[in-house]
This record gives sequence, structure tokens and C-alpha cells, in this order.
Amino acid sequence: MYTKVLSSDKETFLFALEELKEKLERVDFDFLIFAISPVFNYAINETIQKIFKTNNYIAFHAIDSFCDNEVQNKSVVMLAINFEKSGKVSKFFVEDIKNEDILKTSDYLNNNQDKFHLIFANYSNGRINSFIEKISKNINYSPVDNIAGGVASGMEVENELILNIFTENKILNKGLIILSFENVDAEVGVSLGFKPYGITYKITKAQNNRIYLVDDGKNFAYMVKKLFTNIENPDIRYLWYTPIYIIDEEDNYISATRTISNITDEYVEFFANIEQGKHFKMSFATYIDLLQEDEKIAKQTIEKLPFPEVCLNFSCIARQYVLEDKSTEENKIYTKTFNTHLFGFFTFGEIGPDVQRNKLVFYNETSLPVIMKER
Amino acid sequence: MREQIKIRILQNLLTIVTQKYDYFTSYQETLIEENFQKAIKDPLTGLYNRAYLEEVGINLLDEAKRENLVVALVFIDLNNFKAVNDIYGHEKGDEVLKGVAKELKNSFRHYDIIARFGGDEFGIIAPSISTPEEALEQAQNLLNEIQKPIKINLNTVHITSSIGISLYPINGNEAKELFKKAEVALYKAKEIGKNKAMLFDEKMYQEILEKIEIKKEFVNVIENKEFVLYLQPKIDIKENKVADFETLIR
Repeated sequence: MYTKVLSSDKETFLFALEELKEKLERVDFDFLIFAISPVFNYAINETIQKIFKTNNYIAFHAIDSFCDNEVQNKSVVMLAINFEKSGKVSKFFVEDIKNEDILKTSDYLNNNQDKFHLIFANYSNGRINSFIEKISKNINYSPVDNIAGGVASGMEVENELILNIFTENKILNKGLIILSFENVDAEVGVSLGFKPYGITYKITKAQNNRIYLVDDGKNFAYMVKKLFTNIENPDIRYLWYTPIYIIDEEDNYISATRTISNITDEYVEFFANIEQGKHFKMSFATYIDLLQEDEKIAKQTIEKLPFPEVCLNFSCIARQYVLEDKSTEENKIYTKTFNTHLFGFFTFGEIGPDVQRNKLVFYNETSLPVIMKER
Repeated sequence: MREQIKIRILQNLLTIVTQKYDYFTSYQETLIEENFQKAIKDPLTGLYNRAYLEEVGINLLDEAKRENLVVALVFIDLNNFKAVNDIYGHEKGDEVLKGVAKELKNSFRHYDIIARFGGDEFGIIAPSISTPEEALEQAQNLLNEIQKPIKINLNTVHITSSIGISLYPINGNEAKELFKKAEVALYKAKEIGKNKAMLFDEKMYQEILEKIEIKKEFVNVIENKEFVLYLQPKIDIKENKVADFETLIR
């Protein structure tokens, strides 16, 4: 597999694509993946088809995307894939994720368990996380180590969230696309990095993304508000240093992370759904902890798949906040360890296996480095 | 800046996770205290409510009996407050009430119990007052303070008040009795003219009791349908015919 990751920060989408085409030179490609800034939202499919004369592509919005070591803003980053052996890629998409699509999507994954799947999803008003977890319950094979992905990231313009996924002549604003790679080996790393602190709490009252009560009816919001003690003008993002770790009931390991998005007197709200009855721990990290974990996970991942040909990084936008001015360091660790091009973006949520590879999980504040190599 | 925040967050996290039960205990205590405060206080002014004043009144009198103290019970009613609400609206009316509450807090000692009974009525149990003269002097100062002009928007509003006072042990030994007598004194103060303060005396009580008795009798007669309506004709002598009727109830 030959890959190239290119970027352009031209002021129009057309000019950006023309520049990317020029940089691509005469290299053949089988498939293109574009991470495009939400500043571009007009005639995306038409422009890609006009410049590259293909339908073998997907594009999605990303506020910050990765071109090798660089974090690009207000630009277009493109991953061009050229298979040199028997590699293939196909697309499966759901235009508007609904309950009736859960079975269809899980059947697709169950019937294609020999392939490696990259999911590019829309936030879909927060429905994506429960959709993924419902799919996970229907997956009938183990280990679940052949799926990874992320939720595209957009921004609000005049009260409208600009966040779309594009392919062929479709614009998916409530759906997802699965790219299924055939004859490609892949390995997914799960880099958390937050250290768990203290005892385990049981969620005794939760609804959607909110925790109301823990243990025997204690107000969780009261406890979380204590994190702001002696901090002037508290910003909710300060709590991104302290996500919670959801514990797997059966095997007692960390199965997912949840980042706080809001606190009221009654409840603590997270960026993804919360299941009543689950247990969790508080956690904390600085950029040093996260980068150390990235390095450890990168080394473990390459041991399982040496000499990869490309790396993708799905890294949470809240993790970017904790990484502070070191947000490019994560990509540097991956490109150095994997010695490949790197493509990716800061996501609104990451999709990947849990650390034990028992199920598919929707994460917050995680980095999922994915390395691939054609058979 | 970010470094300091991170350190604070970590410190707070460590405090929470290592003292989980202390935090929850203090949370429960805070909750109990908050509920208690809600139960005993007037939410608008932050003064105590009537129920609390009555309860404290009983305890304070027990204490006063043991220590041979004098305790004053002061009732205050604002005279033209309804007009303020009607003209300027309830929001401005609430501001006036808050202002009066503040004035009461300034005028009395910290150990005096000040309450709002609801509407424009206030009550104070004042162990700081030890003689009838002191009580009247304090009341007069209060009348002067309350009647000072208040600015609402671009208008100046004058509010006056009436004050009734009863004293333990001069006017009675039981809290209920003293409450009733302070109310009687307040009624009398309003009757003789606005912006007046009255100390309770027995003569006042008899007058009021008579009025109350008359009122009671009226109520009984109405309930028993003992009133009879009489129409007495008025005769026009020149015309020699009924010109009108005089209506009488006997």
C-alpha cells in the first residue's frame, strides 16, 4: 500500500483541491479520504468529483486535522491510498442512524469480520454513542479488534452546526460511513493516559448523558463542583483534566471514558451516554501523562504489526485541550514510532475496541492510533 | 495560569476521593441546614417567618422567666403599602419590603428576633428592650426611619407605619397572650392615626374586646337569620301618596 498525506490551506475549496491534485502529481490512487475544515461546506462532492474525477472517496468535516506531524486548521487534509497488491476498499453507509439501522449495521460487521473497518460518523445530536454501543451488543465475534473510527467535528455558524460527511452525491448530516478494507492487516491502539483516583462509585440514577446520583443516593454534582474549589471564574473545560473511567462490570477493567460537558445543581452531564448501574472512577492527567501513554501504546501497537504503511489518529478534541500547546507531540510520537505518514483529526468522540478487545466502545478523551499494512 | 488550575484541580480531586464520606456527610449537613433555613425564613427579606418567631417566643419567655428579664414584643404594619404595589408593581413593592427589613436589622440588636409575617407585617421579639419607655423610644425611632422618603424610579414614595407593643411580664406571662396584646396595640395605633406607636394597656383591651363581642354578635345574628328587613314608607303630604321608602334592619 502506497499512501500520501497532503494538506492545503487555500482560501477556497476549489483552490485547495487543485493544490492537492498538483501535489499528488502523477501518483495513482484507489481511494481518497478528505478531512475538510467546516469553513468549507459548499459543493463539496461536486468539487471533489470535478478535480479528481472519481467516486472513490469520502470527505468529512474536522475543525483540526492531521497531516503527518502538523495539526491543520481551516484547511483540507487528504489521505491518498494506492493498493499495490490485493488490497481493496468498499463503502457501507447509513444516511440517518435510527434503531432499525442497528441490526443492518451489526449484520454488515458480522458478515465482514475478516475485513478492517474504519468508521467516520456524524455526531447526530448525540445519538451516535448509543448507536455504537447497541451495535456492540450485536457483534457476534471476538476479539473485536477490526473496527476503529471517530466522530467528525464541526462548528456552529449562525446557530447551525456545520458537520457533514460526504461521498459520491450524498451529504450525511445524521449518518455514518464505514470504509471496509480487504486484504489489509491493521492494529488499533487505545491510548487513555488518565490515572484513576480513589474509590469506585456506582451510578444509581442516570438518564441519557447525565449522572444524577451515585452510591446510595448521593448528589454527584455536589462532588464534582468541589473540583472548582479555590478556582476563580471556573471554566467547564478545566474538568476535561478529570474525565471518569467507566468500569467493566464483569472483568473490572476500564471500558470507556466520559468527559464532563456541563454541571447543574442536580446532575453532571457528559459528552456521551451514561448507563445506570455501571461503576466508575474519577481520573486526572496532564499532557505529560497523555504523551507517555501515547508512546507506550505506540510501541505496543507496532510490536503487533511491524512495518505499517500508514497511520490514522482519532484523537478527542477534549484531549487536545489537555495536551495544551503540545498537541502536535502526539502525532510526532506516532510518526516516529510507526515511521509512516499520518492522517487523522481531533474528534467529537472515538470509536474502537475496549482495552480487552471484548466489545466496541464509544470513547471520550482517547487517542486511537490505527496502523494498516496491505497483505 | 493553566499550571495553577491543574494543581488546584488535582488537589481538589485528591481531597474528594480521599474524603468521600466526609464530603457526603457535609453535603447532607448542608442540605439539612438549607432545608432548615428554608423552613424558618422569609425568602424575600431573609428575616425569620411567623412560625419561627412564635416558637422562639415561647423559648425566650421561658428563659426570661428564669432570669427575671423584660422582653418586648413589637408588631409593625406598613400603612400605605398596598398603594405602592398597585402603582409601581410587586417588584418595586418587594424592594420596599427589603428596605424595611434592612432598616429593622439596623435598628435592633443582633440577638433580637426579627420576622416578616407576610404581606407588610413584621414582628420582633426584643430582649434588648427592658422598660416601656425604652420600647416607645425605640418604636418612635423606627417610625421616623421608615417614613423617610424612598426613591422608586424617578418618584419619591412616603411610607408610614404603625407599631403595637406588648411587654413581658407587664402585659402577660404567656407567649400567645403577649402576641394577642401586641396585635391589639397595633390595631389601636392604626385607629388613632397613621405613624403612631402604642404600648398595650388593659383599657385598650376592653375596647377592642367590646368591638370583637359586637362583631361576634353580628356574625351570630346573620348566621341565625335573626335580622328582619323593614320598609317604612315616606308619605308626600301635599300629594297624599307614598313618595319613598326607608329601609331598616332590626
